[in-house]
Amino acid sequence: MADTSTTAPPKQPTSADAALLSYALGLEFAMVDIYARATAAAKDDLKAVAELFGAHHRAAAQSLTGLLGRKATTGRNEKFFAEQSAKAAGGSARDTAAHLAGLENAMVATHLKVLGTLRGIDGAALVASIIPIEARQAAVLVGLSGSTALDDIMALDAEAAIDPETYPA
Amino acid sequence: MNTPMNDNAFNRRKFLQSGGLALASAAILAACGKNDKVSTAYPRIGESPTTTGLPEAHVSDIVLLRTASSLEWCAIDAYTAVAGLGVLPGAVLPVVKRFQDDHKSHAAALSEAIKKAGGEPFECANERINTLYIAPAVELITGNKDKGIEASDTPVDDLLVLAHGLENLAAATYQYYVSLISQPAVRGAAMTIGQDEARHAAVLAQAIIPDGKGIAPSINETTGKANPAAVPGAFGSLAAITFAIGKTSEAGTKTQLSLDTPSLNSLAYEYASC
Repeated sequence: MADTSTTAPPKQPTSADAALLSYALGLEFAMVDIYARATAAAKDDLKAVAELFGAHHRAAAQSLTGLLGRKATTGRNEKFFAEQSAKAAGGSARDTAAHLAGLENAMVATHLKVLGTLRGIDGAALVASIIPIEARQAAVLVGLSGSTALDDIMALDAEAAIDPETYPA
Repeated sequence: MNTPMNDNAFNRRKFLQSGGLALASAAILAACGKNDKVSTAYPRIGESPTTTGLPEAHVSDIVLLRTASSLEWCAIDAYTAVAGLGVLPGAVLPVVKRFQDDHKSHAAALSEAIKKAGGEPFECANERINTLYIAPAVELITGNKDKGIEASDTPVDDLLVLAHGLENLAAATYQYYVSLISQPAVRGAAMTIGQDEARHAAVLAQAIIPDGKGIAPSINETTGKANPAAVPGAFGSLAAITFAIGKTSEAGTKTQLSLDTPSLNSLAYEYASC
């Protein structure tokens, strides 16, 4: 039996897609700034990792901006940054890594939720290329937090998706 | 001086002309005649054996999910084979067991998704991927006397590198299929599994190159090739996955293999069964 789709999905993001992608973009901008704080405060291995992962979030933000054009938000999600950035600096390396791992997992869960709603192929393909990298980053950071338990490394809580009602765009 | 040709002479041109007419007449008669009067006892010009065409095959969401399921079964079988070789250290076996269990969960989730979409689950390994990629790679590690392939001098490292390559292949496959899947919810479900495979690959990269050196991309100074990396770039790559395994040559190199995501000739179409 063939699948139930009768029309090909659009290539470009729809208006609803643009709103979802723009929300994700605001979170990516916030992650860039959170990692900037972490990089400034961290030492040794975690410093290099935070710098690298921050650059990856910047690349994700740039690509989302390129896709959305004038519909793209230009600023970070302020509430998310305000609540999450303090814990990314000032603590022990393990605590910082654990916090960043939690944020990466939240980003993965958020992108998966967005992906499950997007209609346009271009937006879906871009988000699908961001998800595995942020999942890998979460796995690495769990290790840097001191845990070697595979249950922790593989943990992904769909409920951890960042909620627009809690953190409005 | 040329001698005028006799009109009644049976020359070559006339022979060919009359022969051509006869052949054309025979062809017309054969075309007008009924098939059951044509002898099939010996080969004739214009006849060919009956062929059966392949069933019509569309690349639907169901086909993509079935193919993803076939890859999961490849991974399940590969981890079974790897564990059965008896060369992995005890510390690695729980990782192999965990990853294999994850792939079983993925396969079960895909079967449910396929059934929900109205399709028939595909619960066996992808034969083409096994033949093209996995079997030759395992031979390079274990050796094959009949083919003159010597066993690897670093089998544990090579098994980890192979597992890393297969996990990357799985992650890339889900990512690629997002652009082909029509239903948004199915894309989300696919990448929920895909991000699991990416985490597997990240763990294996750090097992291959430990002490934090396997996190970011790096180059092997001996071979000049890229080392496995837990986080190889800013975006998931859809490029061919390359790695080197097998007996180390005198030049210090190993056999380079390349994996690509399943394409049209390796999909689990709806007419295919295990």
